[in-house]
Amino acid sequence: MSEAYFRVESGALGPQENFLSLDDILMSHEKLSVRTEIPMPRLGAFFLDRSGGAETDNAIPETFVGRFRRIMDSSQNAYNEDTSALVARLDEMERGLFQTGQKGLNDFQCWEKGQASQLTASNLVQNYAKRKFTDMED
Amino acid sequence: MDAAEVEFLAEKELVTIIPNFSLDKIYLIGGDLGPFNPGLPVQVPLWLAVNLKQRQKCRLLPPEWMDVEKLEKMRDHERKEGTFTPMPSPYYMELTKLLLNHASDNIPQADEIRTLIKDVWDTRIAKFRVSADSFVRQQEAHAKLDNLTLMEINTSGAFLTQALNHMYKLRTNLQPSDSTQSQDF
Repeated sequence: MSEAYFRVESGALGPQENFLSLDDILMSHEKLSVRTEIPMPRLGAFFLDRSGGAETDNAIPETFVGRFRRIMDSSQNAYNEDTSALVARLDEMERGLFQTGQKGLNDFQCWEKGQASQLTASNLVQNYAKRKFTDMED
Repeated sequence: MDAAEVEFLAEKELVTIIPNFSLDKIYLIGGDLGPFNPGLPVQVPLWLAVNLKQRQKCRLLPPEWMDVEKLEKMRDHERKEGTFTPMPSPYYMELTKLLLNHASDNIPQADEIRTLIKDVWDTRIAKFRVSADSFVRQQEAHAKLDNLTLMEINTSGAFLTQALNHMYKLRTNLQPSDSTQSQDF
């Protein structure tokens, strides 16, 4: 006889929480600080020799500080343009930042042009309209 | 927030209209409006003003600050000052856009006004970026920017907070503290 009730597994360890899982529904979303240690056997001396010491620890934050202005200006000035040249030399995190800047700009421009109060067909629907009759005969 | 949501909040601002109809006072949840008498100015929220104008039931009066000379002075003042100057309305962009789009016939020199307001906006957004850049460069913990409007914050703010979050993570990674425990995963 088949069971009437199937327990839904938590999706928390996967890419996304499972909407129907009790565990996920009741899960608290507190962020706990975590330090992850990855053992790299026998490489301790290797890294020690090549470290620049405490003075160079600040290099990464400083690099970001230097690049911040350019990311901000380019992301907030490029409206409806091809941005591939601008993002080519950014790392993934910076690209996310660039996208946030673009989103703010696009939302504002869209509003200013009055598109925020216009009904537009979604891309999905527009693609349906493009399918020809011959496609459906196969 | 979307720009459209900021506009929604802006539509609560009061503007003056001259109705061409009669209506007794109406009692809405947000407050009382009216009574309305033809030819007599009355203050109503922007959302109602725009609606009545679209239905050709009123004429809109431009706010006192929506005047070419005053806006020119405001633009020059904003360009001169390093900090943000107080704006005549916390919703100056939204008011300008709605009034000029729906009632440009009631507003003298509408085109010049549109250009002047855009100039003021561009100057202020440029200042915001300069402030954001110096904030990040000097790695400050606090900043205070007076006289910003919600639309300006909403357009440029998300970028700044995301960048600052990232800076924070980069900086705290430099000092491994004993309080962070590693967990088996």
